[in-house]
Amino acid sequence: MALSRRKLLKSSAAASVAANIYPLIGNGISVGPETLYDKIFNRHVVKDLGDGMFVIKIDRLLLHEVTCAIAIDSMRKAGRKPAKHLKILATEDHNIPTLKNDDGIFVIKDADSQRQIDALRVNAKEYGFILYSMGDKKQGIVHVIVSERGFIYAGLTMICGDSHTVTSGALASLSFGVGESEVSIVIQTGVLIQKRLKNMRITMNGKLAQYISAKDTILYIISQIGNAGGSGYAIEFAGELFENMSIDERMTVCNMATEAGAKVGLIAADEKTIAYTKGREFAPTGKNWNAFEKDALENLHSDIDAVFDVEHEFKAEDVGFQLTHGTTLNEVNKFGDIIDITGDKNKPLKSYMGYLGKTVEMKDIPITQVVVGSCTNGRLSDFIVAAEVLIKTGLKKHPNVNRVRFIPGDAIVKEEVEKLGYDKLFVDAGFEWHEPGCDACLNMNNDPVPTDEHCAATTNRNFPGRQGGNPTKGARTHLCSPLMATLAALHGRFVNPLEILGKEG
Amino acid sequence: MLPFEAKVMKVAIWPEEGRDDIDTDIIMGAEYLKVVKKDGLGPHVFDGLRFSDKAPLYTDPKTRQLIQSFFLNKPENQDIEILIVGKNFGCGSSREHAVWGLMGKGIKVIIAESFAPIFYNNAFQNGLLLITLERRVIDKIIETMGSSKTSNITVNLSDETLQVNFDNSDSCGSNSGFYNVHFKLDALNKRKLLEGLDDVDLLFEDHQQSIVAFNEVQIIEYPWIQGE
Repeated sequence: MALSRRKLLKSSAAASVAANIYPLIGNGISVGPETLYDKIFNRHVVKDLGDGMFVIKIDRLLLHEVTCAIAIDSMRKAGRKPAKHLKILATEDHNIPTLKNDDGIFVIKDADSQRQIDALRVNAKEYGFILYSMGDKKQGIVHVIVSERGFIYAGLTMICGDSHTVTSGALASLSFGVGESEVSIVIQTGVLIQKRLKNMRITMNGKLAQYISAKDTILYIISQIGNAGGSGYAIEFAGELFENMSIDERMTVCNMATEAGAKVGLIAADEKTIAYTKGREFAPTGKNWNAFEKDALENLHSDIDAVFDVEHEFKAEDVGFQLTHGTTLNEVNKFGDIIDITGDKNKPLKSYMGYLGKTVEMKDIPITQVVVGSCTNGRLSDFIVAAEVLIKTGLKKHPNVNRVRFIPGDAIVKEEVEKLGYDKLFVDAGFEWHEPGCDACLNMNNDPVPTDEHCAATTNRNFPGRQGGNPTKGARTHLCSPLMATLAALHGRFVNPLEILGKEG
Repeated sequence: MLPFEAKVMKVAIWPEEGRDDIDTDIIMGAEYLKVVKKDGLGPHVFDGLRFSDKAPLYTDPKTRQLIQSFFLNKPENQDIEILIVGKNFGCGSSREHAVWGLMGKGIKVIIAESFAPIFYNNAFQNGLLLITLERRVIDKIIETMGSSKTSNITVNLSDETLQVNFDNSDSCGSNSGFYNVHFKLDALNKRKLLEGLDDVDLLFEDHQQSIVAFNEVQIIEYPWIQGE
């Protein structure tokens, strides 16, 4: 740090601490080649506690109604206020209805959900943080609004009481999920004690085949490294494949890093990362914007000689139309596979999913429910894919399909879909067009996928009982891309997009 | 939170089928996340596996319909404090309610081949001790418990050892004893559990000055973070 800047520090204590802050913020001393994760982590180290544990500054805190009332109560009991250098944004998303009643009003049927919503509203008023409530034109799923608003951008650290906070790693931020105790720690202190993760890089070059998407890519990756393959690692997604993806697509990929066990997933900053953030409500402006842009483009990528603890390389051409057939993220297949379900270890899966015989093929599964939305695939680009399928095929909901829910990720997405007239397209096709929320991803708002029905879902977890029922008998979830889900809605089963939509040039 | 107590604890072993990838939806279903306090969730841990009926939050387990075949409902597995499972325990959602439910049911220690990272941090925030052991070591403990009359382990956190107690006495004579198994734990987590420390207390006591100093530097070095 230049001498003149050091003079700007208000206290000599700060100057002397600054001199010792690992790894010497701005002292200009190189610590050797760093990965992107290490760079952002190191910039936020307040103190090295030894044994791989550090106190790190958290720049952004996201709240939703399920995971903050208790944390804020702890803060209140301790007589504290939210930490000074922490920015907070809150939304209502998990517990809320996504359909209005006949009078056009949201009705929360259960008292417990209402109590959580009320607590959040009271807390927002008392502590003065921004809250987007149901019906607000900025409200939506927490991991959709956060980037929409420009609340998160490259180089920042962020936490939320939700594992899919990792979605924002797509903007080269260090974002991850925590439990409510850690929310309580951060809201009171602005920092968190964390163990430095190891580094994993997943490199993919080449181009995805036609109709194959970001969702297929991350499902493929999980099929290769396993549902705990990323446990203990920060995963960086690198290579031509990810460079060619839009920010929305990068978010779909990073969103499911946690399903491979990785708390942190990120993609290096580039022109797209900058362009995405520019001009958004909470984005930097003026001189700060210029400095941010310069720093992000010059620094927020792994050094060319950075060393990763684990490196994987996969080929874009190997990604197929990826689906899940079971009750964990280890059961990922490619459409067309003949899946072996023999053996003792498959007995629970067969029983829960209702499979008979020695093998199963995805084309034979009766799809009677479809859910398109969630923090994984609830953005405008996802609904455009679905609309294009309807436009191209002219088909409607298949008579065997009981229900198709299209749930926009936030109110802005809803508005943009409606500007394009696609909501009418969806409704004409016999689909439901909902208000924004998490809804059937985890069924906290009690509108379940019926027990034993097979659901094509663009969500992120296929756990038993999650979408409805209980872990021994419940809704049967099949994760997939928006394209595969929409085609399933029109055919009553999974189909090969190439056969229906044809090959292009 | 209360400091961790070293004492003899009763053990239950998750049956082989379903021992791996026990996710937090299974541990605490979404309908039980609608709470505004941590306590009272013991009745709902593994709800969908323990009971055949669905019941609202805080329903007394004594009024519920037990699934008799579920191992935690068996008489010998009541009042257990140590649970032995397989791989990737606690995967999925970050819901800390899973930890609150486990502890509400009286569980103080979980032994597994591996734990999911977010669940791992959540456990230590509440004083739930998570011990990672290799597959072959867990298998040996399971074998010991299988033939023993009693299933209990004494956890010595300071020494980082598990004392696996067995009693194979029969009409021919007494045959009981124990052996020790070592485990590893991060120094900070160990201290938190032994002293019953909260991260918030730690941070305010030891690190306030560093936090203030850091923020002063960050505002200058990276003004676009805290700015606007």
